[in-house]
Amino acid sequence: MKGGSILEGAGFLVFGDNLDECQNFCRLVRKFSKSYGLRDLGPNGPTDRPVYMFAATESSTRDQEVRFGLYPCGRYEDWQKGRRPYIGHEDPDIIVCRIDSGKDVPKPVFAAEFNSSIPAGNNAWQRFPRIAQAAEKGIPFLYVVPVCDAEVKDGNIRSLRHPNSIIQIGQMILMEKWKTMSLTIFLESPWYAEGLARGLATREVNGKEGEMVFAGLVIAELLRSAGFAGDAELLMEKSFRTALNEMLEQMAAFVETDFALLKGHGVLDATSRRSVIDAWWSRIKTSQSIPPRFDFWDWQPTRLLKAGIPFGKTMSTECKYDSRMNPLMTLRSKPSPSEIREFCKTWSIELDSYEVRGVRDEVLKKAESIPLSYKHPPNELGFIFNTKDFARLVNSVYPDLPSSIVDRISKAKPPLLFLPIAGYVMDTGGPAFSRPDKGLVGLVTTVFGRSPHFNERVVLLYSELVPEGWQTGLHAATTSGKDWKEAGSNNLWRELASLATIVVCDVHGDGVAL
Amino acid sequence: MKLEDLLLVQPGKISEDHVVNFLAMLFTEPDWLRVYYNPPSGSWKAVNLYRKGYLYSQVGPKRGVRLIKRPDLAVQDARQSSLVRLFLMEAKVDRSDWEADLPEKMRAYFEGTADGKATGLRNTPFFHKRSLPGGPWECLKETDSDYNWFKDTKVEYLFCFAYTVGKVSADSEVSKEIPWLTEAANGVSDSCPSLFLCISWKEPIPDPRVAYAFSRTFPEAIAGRVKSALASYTVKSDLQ
Repeated sequence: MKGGSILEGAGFLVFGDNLDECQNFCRLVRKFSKSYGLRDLGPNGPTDRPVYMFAATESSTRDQEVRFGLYPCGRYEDWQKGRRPYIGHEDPDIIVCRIDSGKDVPKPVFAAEFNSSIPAGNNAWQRFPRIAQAAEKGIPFLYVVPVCDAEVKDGNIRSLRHPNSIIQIGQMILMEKWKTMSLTIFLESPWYAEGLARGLATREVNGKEGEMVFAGLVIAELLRSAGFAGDAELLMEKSFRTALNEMLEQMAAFVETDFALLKGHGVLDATSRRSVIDAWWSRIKTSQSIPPRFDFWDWQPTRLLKAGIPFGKTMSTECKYDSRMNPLMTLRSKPSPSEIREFCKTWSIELDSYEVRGVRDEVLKKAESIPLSYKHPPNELGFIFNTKDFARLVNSVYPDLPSSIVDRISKAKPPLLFLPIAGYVMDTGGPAFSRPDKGLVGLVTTVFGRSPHFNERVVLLYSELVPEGWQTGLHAATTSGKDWKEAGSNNLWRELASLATIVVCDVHGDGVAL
Repeated sequence: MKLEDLLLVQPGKISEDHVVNFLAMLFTEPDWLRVYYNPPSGSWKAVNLYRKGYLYSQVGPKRGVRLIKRPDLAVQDARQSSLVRLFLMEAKVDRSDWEADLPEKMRAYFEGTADGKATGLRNTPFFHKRSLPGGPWECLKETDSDYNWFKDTKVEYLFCFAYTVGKVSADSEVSKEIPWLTEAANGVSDSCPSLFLCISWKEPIPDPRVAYAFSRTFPEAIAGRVKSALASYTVKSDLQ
């Protein structure tokens, strides 16, 4: 051990999923310390877990040096409950805490999630609740993803993907609501060139500066927490602007495939880019309101009807929802005459006045009272305007559903938000809640939960693995102060309790109103 | 806040994470290059190998359904350029987790199994490479001469099994492990040159302390380098 008492400054504890991630976080700060005017004092203490020490001098008061040390603490579960930080019911990859004495309970000042592989497809939203819970607590959060990646199994490339920009849309909303920084940092990837060639990456966002921007934001937060003012603020603003600009580039580039509801919205207009960044910076710094032309989270019903599919996912579960309900909620791109007849019957659309030729367009034009998404396999999300016929359809597929629930759906003020999810999957140890679905529910809560237009939010669980007595766990999640784990609850139920007003279970044919 | 006060903030328990972290901090550049790392709570799949100034990147199999074992840490000998020498390591909390077929299972992660049920990493071509340090990524094609270099090159394997006796107040608590370490080292097959290592952390500020033993066929030159790296952690009475 070396170093003696030379710290004499601010102490930061770095907690995480494991020591490697904590050490990497500290090394990254070290790698860019000189670029941001820090003096690297080197690691001090035990060689396997040293304190990484830095010094900085405020540019306005040249003589005043501030020191701080980062101490990698390793994984959360190795610490006693009162000695480790919590920022919600899920632990992110990294939580940095300020500590002033060895007896302090660590106080979180910053958190990050490193998604090193394929944040795309159904996994894209898996970690979203971690992002949301940090924002709710006012803790700055960075979500770090490769700019493009591939799914590889046994040496075979299954798919090449870009990170789904739904997450960035959710982060924009979180920043507006909680006035706290929540950004995505895109990192360099070996797959970038292939992604670029296939339209899955853009020239504007290549991830080359990602590590440096990440380090800039981290160092700014550390300096601010350690007592710096001016320099930290300047660095924070510069890094924030760079990161948000890249987020907006990605959102604009992939809006059609990732989130068609935002297509053509002013917030993604390249000519407004600077104004958008100014608006969000002012929001988190001085709580200024976002100009109405950039507000995209109100979800006016007229916009929902005109836009396309919000986002979709694939499905392989055999259930009544897939075989009976969803075919009547969607119209394939080339429907047969019988499919059109069934569809129109379900949704009370009079067919007689239309010619067979070109009838689909006419039907769709007429069908402003049916779900937004027209896709098979199932929609990820639907907005139901014809609640009466929807209630009839739900009741025909699930006849044992309590009549009070069917009535409530029928009488709901449209649009009704409808979210079908599997909810449960087969894991190595048996049935377990689906992590992507849990994340999706959290994402939908953030993106649509604030809108005053969705009075009823119906979630349908279509996995055959949903356990008997599932309502107990769900109710436990809604009851504060109860030992929710012992009552059979889990993080899926917690997320559902925040979003749903009605939950229907396919395999048991029952449901509850919350 | 003083450095000493910060260091006194310690976890309630020592876990596998501390063991593998010690190994990762010990076997590091410039002598050893990290090939693969899979600490607790990680399902790291990226595999990097080094050859003639290039870093080659690949995605390894996640699980081998009991036929193969992902090492917790794999490092490549940076001093060896005529062949690839890989040091594959497994970290556990308890020595009772040692299993005699562990080295062979870790080897199978790279070589695959004889019956072909598990494909080893050597049978998978690399997708990308970049010149060091930090050159741009290049996509490897089947026509490139180095597309299958890992399959064609000679590879030598070394193994390590490491465990911990946790926090200790006296060096003797580590010394007590030497008989088990020696017996385990003597018991491995000659085809699996192995290092057996016990780590503890002496309180109050947890400084690592180690005891260790090499198997018969562990190369002397490498053993010398390992001993040298471990010297400052080895309790005096345990020097071998």
